[in-house]
Amino acid sequence: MFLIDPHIHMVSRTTSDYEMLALSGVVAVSEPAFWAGFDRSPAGFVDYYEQLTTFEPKRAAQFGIDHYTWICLNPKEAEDLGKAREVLAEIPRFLTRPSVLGVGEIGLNKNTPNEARVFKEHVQLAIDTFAQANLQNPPAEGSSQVGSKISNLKSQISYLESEISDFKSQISNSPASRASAIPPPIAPHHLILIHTPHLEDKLKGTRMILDMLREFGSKLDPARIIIDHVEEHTIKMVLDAGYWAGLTIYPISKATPQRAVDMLELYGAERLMVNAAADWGVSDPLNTHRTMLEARRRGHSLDTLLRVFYNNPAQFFGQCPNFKPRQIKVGFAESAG
Amino acid sequence: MPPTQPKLPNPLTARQVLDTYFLETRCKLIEIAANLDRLDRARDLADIRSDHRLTFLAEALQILASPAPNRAELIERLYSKE
Repeated sequence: MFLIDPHIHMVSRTTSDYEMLALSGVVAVSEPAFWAGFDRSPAGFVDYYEQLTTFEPKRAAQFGIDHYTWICLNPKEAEDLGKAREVLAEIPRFLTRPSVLGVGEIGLNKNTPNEARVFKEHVQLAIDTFAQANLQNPPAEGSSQVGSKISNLKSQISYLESEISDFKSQISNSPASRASAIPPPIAPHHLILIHTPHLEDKLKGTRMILDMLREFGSKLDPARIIIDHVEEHTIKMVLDAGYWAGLTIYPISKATPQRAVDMLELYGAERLMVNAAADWGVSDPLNTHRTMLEARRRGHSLDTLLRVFYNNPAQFFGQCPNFKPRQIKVGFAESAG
Repeated sequence: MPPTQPKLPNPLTARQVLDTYFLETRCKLIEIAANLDRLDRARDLADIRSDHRLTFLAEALQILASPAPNRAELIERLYSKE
């Protein structure tokens, strides 16, 4: 079984972890920029972005893993507005690098006014820099970007055809669910990956994030935004608003494999991803796999596993032409004789 | 509130769910009981009588014993700052 790990901080992990991930079926990882455990200087961020976009892809490639990344200033370092804006000014030149998927993980930590300001400035940056990139480098016919988009659309059409086939056999399926599976034709901004706060701050922080996103109105496409670390009390509001939702499996906080599969059952596989968000703290890169195992243990189908742990990340990330893995479909060979 | 009907129903029957998770649930309940016993035995218990986390634990245990269909969500909400 192949997997895509949609959220992992490999700069904090050993090279042996890359090998372990490869051995356990991971073919691509997505690494959001995050907090290093201490507040960095603006120059420190530039070095970090260099590491994310040059060194990590090479380290991952040794094991056949595609490494993708996201660029931003973590909310924990947003309190000093002057410093935050210095860092924000450095971000656009990294967003054009070939392994970058978008802006993330932005969000809130303690739900402070300064965190909220920097969050909105990041979102605006994701809108402005995407428009600028398209103005400066309009995709020419036959260019690799156009080719990649066409390939991506073909993949999505193929995937949707199989979905339609499934829908026909499911009487209980709702029309709203069908409509939201169709990707929008125009991409108005970079993909955005959002971190929601921990523990007692999560509910309020998630509501604040949804309110702030709503302020941008039609400038934002919910299908191009994932809101991560949802739990039982926040998942519904995220999915109901049309965003993708990420379930993070941690030893103490966030979710467990069992609870994650409960939420998968309650809300369905559409726009849902699972990650281990392994970093320098107490965490485990194989928690994504443990969640897959839990779903398998309950008897969920291979198609469901493939969708949640591979095709959903491929569908969401595939909206960025930099992301190469395409959605895959499994079938059964004809029985011999 | 979660949906009344799961979108992707658990393929296991109630009997299978009970068989699969009984020991795990028993283990966690005993762990909670032992944690509370440890707290009761600790020195200077009077110093934390007004700690809001004790109230949270007591209310969470009531939710646990209730028949609500979304007990996990209710405990998370109880622990949330509004």
